[in-house]
Amino acid sequence: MAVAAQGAISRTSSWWWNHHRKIAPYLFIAPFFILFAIFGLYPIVYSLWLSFFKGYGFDEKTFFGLGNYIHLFEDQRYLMAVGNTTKFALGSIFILSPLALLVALGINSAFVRWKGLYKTGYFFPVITSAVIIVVIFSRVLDKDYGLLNNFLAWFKIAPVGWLTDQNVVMLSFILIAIWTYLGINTLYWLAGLNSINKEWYEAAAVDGAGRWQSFWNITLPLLRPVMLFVVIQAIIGSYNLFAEPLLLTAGGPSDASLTVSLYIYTQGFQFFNVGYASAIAYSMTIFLLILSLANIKLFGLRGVE
Amino acid sequence: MESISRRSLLKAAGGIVAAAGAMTGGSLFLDGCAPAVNTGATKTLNFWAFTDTRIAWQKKAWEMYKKEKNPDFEINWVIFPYQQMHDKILITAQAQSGGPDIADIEISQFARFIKGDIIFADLTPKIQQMGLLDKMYRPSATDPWSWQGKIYGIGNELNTCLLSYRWDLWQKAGVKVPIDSWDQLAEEAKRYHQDTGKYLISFAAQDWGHWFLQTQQQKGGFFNERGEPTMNSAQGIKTLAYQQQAMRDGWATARPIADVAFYSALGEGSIGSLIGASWSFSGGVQENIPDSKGKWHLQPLPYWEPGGSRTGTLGGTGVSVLKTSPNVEEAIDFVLYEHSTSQALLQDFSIRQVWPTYRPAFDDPVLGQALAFFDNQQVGALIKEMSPEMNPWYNSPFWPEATSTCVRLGITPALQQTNISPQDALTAAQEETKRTIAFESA
Repeated sequence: MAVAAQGAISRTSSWWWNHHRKIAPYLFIAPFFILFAIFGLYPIVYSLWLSFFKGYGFDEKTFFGLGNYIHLFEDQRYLMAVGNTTKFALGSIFILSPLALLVALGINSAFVRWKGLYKTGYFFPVITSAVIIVVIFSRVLDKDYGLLNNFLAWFKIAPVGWLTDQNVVMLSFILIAIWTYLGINTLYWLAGLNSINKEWYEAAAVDGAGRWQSFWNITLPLLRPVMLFVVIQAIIGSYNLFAEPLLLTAGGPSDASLTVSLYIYTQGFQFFNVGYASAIAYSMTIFLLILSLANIKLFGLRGVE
Repeated sequence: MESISRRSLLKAAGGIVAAAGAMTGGSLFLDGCAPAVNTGATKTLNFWAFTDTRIAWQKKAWEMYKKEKNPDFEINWVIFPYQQMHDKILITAQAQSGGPDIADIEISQFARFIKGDIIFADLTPKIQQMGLLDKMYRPSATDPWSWQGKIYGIGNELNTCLLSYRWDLWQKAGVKVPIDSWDQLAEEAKRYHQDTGKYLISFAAQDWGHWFLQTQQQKGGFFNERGEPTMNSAQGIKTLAYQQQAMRDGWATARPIADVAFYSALGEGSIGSLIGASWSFSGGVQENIPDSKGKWHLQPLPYWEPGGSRTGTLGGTGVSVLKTSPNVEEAIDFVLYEHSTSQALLQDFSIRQVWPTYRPAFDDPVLGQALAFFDNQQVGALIKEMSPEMNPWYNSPFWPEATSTCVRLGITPALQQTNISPQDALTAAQEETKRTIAFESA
């Protein structure tokens, strides 16, 4: 009996000894994949499944085919949310990103001292909680009692309804985004600028190129991979805009600051209409995928080498 | 040597996992869904809340309950951020695991928990058995957590709404008090604005609070007793028309959307009053502008018609028991005990200056005492006098849909663009709400 048991242990040990080098690495990385499968993959797949069903609350769901997706095109709130979010994304791409590039060029210039101080200063808002940012900007942007309108009043500018005027409210969120994300975008651009070999500029200078020509013909083309990254993360980040409009305006006035993420939350968690919320989320996934592929095509990396 | 080290590491890792499993009674993986506090010998009920000030009085009530009833369970108090707590209750109810036994439920969040299969235990039989219905101010105590005749939660916050005004500013401007009717308020507000350049009152243009309060004062609201939307009722239109007229004539201003700006305006006197419940005229004001102590007086809301109600109810948080709890009876017993024990409720008055929904608690003279913050006015006596005039009102599973649509298509457009007809705006909101309900529930 003892001999048989010893034999079994021996066989197990021998099997482990022969295979452990192959198996051990998988065991080490397994926790991540197990957690991802449970908390990442499963919800992603399940929400796709849900998007084809109808039913609210805790009731049984009934199959609805593409009904939720078809309803998207009839839903004015959804179309408004897409429009608002797109405005914000355009602001991020065409206002925030170029501004960040300007700041990066400034910090990177030979004339600026204490570069670390500027980098840290610009970066601080990134690590500030969205709730704190909202508290700050609720004091800054109030129409009658806000700091910004008080400041504008010195120049005889009439009070602007930053958070109450339907035509202005998304601009306010772009301003908040500039204050918040200028630092991180500046760091992206700085990383790109620092990776450009200085010899290119020296060679161009020898050939008689000025600063503008160097920027246009060397800096910008070589920043293209960073530009692609900055633009894609700006688009994805923009379509995730959520906490600020939720806390500052609740999507108002009259949905003028309703974003896609906020609408998904409203449908999913306020109305508990999870099938439709999932359909909205997947429509955005497809939309962002197309935009990202278009960007990759647009910024085609050929010629960078 | 290298392979031996790796093997040792694997063995050690396996040993740690096994030891951990053994220490937790083999429950590390299998019992992962159950809250750890439930693994002890004594039954433990999890109580979820979103603010420590609200559970402060409940903890004191729990101590009284333990002394009086010697229960065989304990309560584990857990605080989450407001939105997160309500979301987690939804998620855990959906997952049927890991949720609380008892939870604080804020009034505007209740509706989403009664969609489909209701997740809360019905408190009605026990409330009736205890004879509590006639002892409560129901529009604040049970109406917000009721649906189709059943009560799923109970609140202790008596949100009898009053007009709270800066008497120092009003006296200086010669405003005649008390203001009896909304028409009289309009006249006083016009003169006040003309004389001082400031506003006697403000109305919310981007939330439904003031519209609902003034509409409910006339027995209107978002829904009727069958749960059908009624926002374009005569009462709703009358309220919105009154507020729109105020904006058009310029004698009222839009309430700043951020609380901090609103209370600043009250503090500096550019807005001279507020309408609301004690969490606003007492809690919010004392917290945000404590320097205004002694400058406030309260009076009943102006009436719409002589003999009509001079108050309403707005806001509040109640306590519900989840029917998935393994200890529903124990949980209900405690929740109803704390809401019907005067000494427990007086604790909340001393902590938060919250007047209770339980009528017998008002027998205690402490609730009627003069308050220095309100220039030694006997606020409790006024609240006690006004509370019976609160009208009943009705909730619905589609409360969030109706309220957000009413603001979006009704209130905000009518108050921001005064050429829009209140009737058209509210009818648009009513129709849109019906369409949304039809899509969701078809």
